[in-house]
Amino acid sequence: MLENIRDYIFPKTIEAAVRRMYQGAPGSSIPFTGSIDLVYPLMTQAETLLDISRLGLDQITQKGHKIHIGGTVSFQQIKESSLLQDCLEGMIPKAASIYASRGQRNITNLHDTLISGTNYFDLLTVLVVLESKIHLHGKTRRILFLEKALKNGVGHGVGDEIVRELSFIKPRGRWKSSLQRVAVLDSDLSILSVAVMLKGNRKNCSEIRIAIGSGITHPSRFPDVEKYLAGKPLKTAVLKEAGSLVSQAIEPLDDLRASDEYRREMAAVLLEKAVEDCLKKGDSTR
Amino acid sequence: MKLKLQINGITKTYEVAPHVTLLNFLRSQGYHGPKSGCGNGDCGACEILLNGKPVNSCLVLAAHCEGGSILTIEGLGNPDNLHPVQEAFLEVAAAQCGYCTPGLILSAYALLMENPEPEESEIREALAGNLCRCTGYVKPVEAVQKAAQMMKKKAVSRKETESIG
Ligand code: FES
Ligand code: FES
Repeated sequence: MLENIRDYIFPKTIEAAVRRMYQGAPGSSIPFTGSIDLVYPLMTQAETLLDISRLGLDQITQKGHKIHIGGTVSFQQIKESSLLQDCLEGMIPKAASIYASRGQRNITNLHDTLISGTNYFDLLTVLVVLESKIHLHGKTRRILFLEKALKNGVGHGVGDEIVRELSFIKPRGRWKSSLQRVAVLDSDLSILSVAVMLKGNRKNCSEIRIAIGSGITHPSRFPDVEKYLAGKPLKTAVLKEAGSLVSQAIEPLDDLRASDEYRREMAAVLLEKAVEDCLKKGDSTR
Repeated sequence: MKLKLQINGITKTYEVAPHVTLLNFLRSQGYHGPKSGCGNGDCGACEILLNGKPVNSCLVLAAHCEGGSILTIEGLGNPDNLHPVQEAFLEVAAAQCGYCTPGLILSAYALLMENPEPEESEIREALAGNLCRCTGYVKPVEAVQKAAQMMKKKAVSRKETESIG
């Protein structure tokens, strides 16, 4: 098992790691953060592992209005972060805490999640609703919206990019938020998750963001449904119509955890629940 | 490759292949406390503490731990001098086959180190990654509650001894 791996290196800088990544054939030297869990398929093609876990990418910081989550920050660190707890009523730590156990959260991070194309974590749904950007360092340095990166893939399928960080503007004003999910058990991976950020009240939705993830090809926003809801009263009939629009718009997976049909139904149900949950948290017009 | 590690308080330099998991490495060195269950991060039988944090050693490469410190169940206590968490597991009979027990005890220990008076829900959350197929979870949770009391008592009596001394 993994006897193809001949070398294990701790590069001194990110630049040194990147240089090494491009020395041999694509995928022969890959960035590695310690755990084989998510990146195992990439490891089966690699000869050298470049351990980037000590390059200072494990910090959660705020600079001005922007929050930065380093690529190698673990899910457990996210769960325990008071900085993130202070943002959107703790929706980000809540999403990170859903995944597995402490033993696993301590060794799982966004870097591995993203270079392995693992799209099913609720944390990604939440980061998409926050309009997060991903900072990648490979042959070139790229900053793109996480949603786009999830759609197109990170690391070109061979793990040849380092996820330096994810960043987002800390929501200001009176955003209310809600993460709704359906899963067999609380600690199970979601069959589907819906994250909503809302400004407004029952009489008028002034702004809404909707992201759906976990059981669809990649976590996405739904701008047409957001446009439909903006400026409308959030009455039952309007929410039902939004639910039906979202059910039609998603591309759900059909796998061992649920059928695509079930996921379409649940998208509508969870959207309605998320909006109701935001409204319950109070008027957010002022 | 060379690997410098502190295992249960003893620092040594080892020779290890770069692809070997921490679990296989530890077992090859005679630390049989960590067990192989699922090999997939799901059961917690292989749990150890890496730099004080619980991790599933089946998912971590030994090479990654260079310079770090590891605690396995063998380092927590020994038959002549059990750690209170081990004593509590014995007293409430929280083990049957014992396969999951090292992982459970280390999860409990890590929890009590950062939270000496956990709520039941916090105990359950901390043990969530340790699957037990024969005893179930009622007894292990009880054992952690008991361990918390025992550790508190010990800390109090140590303080009293110190102030008398
Ligand atoms: S053997 Fe490591 S978690 Fe099951
Ligand atoms: S005591 Fe047998 S698996 Fe837990």
